[in-house]
Amino acid sequence: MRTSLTIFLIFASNYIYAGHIYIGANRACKTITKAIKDANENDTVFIEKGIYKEGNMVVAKTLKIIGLNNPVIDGESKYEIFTISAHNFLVKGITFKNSGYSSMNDFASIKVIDADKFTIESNTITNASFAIHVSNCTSFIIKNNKIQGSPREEQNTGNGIHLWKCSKANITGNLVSGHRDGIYFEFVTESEIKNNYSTQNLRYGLHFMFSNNDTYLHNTFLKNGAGVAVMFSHHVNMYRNTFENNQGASAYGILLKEISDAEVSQNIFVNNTVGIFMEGTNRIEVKNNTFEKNGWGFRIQASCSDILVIKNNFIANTFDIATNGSLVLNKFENNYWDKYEGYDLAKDGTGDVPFHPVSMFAMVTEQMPYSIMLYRSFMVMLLERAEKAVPSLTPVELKDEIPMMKPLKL
Amino acid sequence: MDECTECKMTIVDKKYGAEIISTKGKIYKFDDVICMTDFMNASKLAENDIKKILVINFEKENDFLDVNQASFYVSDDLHSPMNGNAAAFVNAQQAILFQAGKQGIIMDWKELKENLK
Repeated sequence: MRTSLTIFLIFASNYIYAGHIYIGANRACKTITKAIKDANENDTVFIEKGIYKEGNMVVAKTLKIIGLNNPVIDGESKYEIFTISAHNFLVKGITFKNSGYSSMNDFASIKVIDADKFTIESNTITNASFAIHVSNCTSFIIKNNKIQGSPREEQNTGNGIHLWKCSKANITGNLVSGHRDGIYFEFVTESEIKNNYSTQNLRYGLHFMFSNNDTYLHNTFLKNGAGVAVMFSHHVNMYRNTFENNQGASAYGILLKEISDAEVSQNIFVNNTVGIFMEGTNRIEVKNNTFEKNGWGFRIQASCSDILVIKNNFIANTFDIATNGSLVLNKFENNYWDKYEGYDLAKDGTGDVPFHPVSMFAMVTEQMPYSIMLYRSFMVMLLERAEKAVPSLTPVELKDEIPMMKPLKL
Repeated sequence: MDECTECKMTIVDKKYGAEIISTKGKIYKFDDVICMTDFMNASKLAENDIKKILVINFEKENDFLDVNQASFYVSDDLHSPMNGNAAAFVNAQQAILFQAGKQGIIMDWKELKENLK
């Protein structure tokens, strides 16, 4: 008798402190709006399979909102779907589609404001302006979401995952495509972006603005309008990412502008117009990266200083390095350059004469981009040879003193 | 797609855009008015070489306004690409209509230029 009473009490207390509400066509509760209204703090709300059209839903309670068998919430191209401002909530396993667009309010499928310790997980978001929009939040996880925009016009397409004034965010394993910027960080600190796949976004696969002390690693950025941009930030580390097929007149694997104290290592840059473009950038270590088949491996503007480029592989790029000035405040060492024609008499695996990675024609195209049509002509080849013998255009100081004879194993 | 002359970003949100036309006819495009003022403050183009300065009408796509005639609504709730946060309108009246019920203030080009310094 006593045990059964105890068991009863345990269940009862569970019921009181963490109730379950089911929403579905065959349930007492038919709408999400009603469930959110009726739910107590810490309840779990299960949404069963079906299509729900309920306009905008405001959540201001600690709730777990979980989709069972992939329910669909349709914003009918008019509404922001979830507007959440709560602690410790969870949104999981729901398909959001057709959230609306507003030029002033940044409508999103899931908008989170002033919240902390929440998780947004395994949702599918299609045809949204902004998919996930988070502002003024700390300590949260956004993981394994599938976000697929269908850009109507560039103007009214928002970002896939948009963070503004946040800290300690963890963005993991998301697939983002068809938005303005795949992942956008503005004033975001102490955060990590890992294992995401960002492709075919109109502007950048990933965009950092004024965001410090962040790390992004093991992401893939493929075929975005302009690659990845990291701007006006410091202490941003980039490891083991893949930047591939970001092509166009102003497209870069990574655009680094006004960045300081960063580490770029073990990344792969393949088939981009420009692998890395740097401007106004200081104290960066570029190490163990692979630059392969890019138009320009590395464009480093004269406004950069203390850039250390060591132990990278430069293979089959049209131009390995380009720069726009003669002042060199950066160091290149122990890289492998497939264009190196030196010898290794000492047999220590490194070349005995320095390599000058900036070609004469790279300097010319920097000043006059249209001249590229003359590239690989006989005249240019002759001039290139002459320049090697008597350098006049290329910065003499920009050289790798100890180039590697064989590609580095990275 | 065009790239901003100053910040190098691809221009997607055209409604905050601006451009300078030089006396030689070269066009410098910007994604945000603040990029244009930064560009001008850095004296990358001599004042005498500027023929015309245009800003995009916030309310109408692809409609350019002479900067001296435009009125600006300036407010942090705009979120322009580089945080210049100024929207251009045909005249003061349009800007005031837009301002109704909001926090921002209205400026002309001279005031805005000072403000963004």
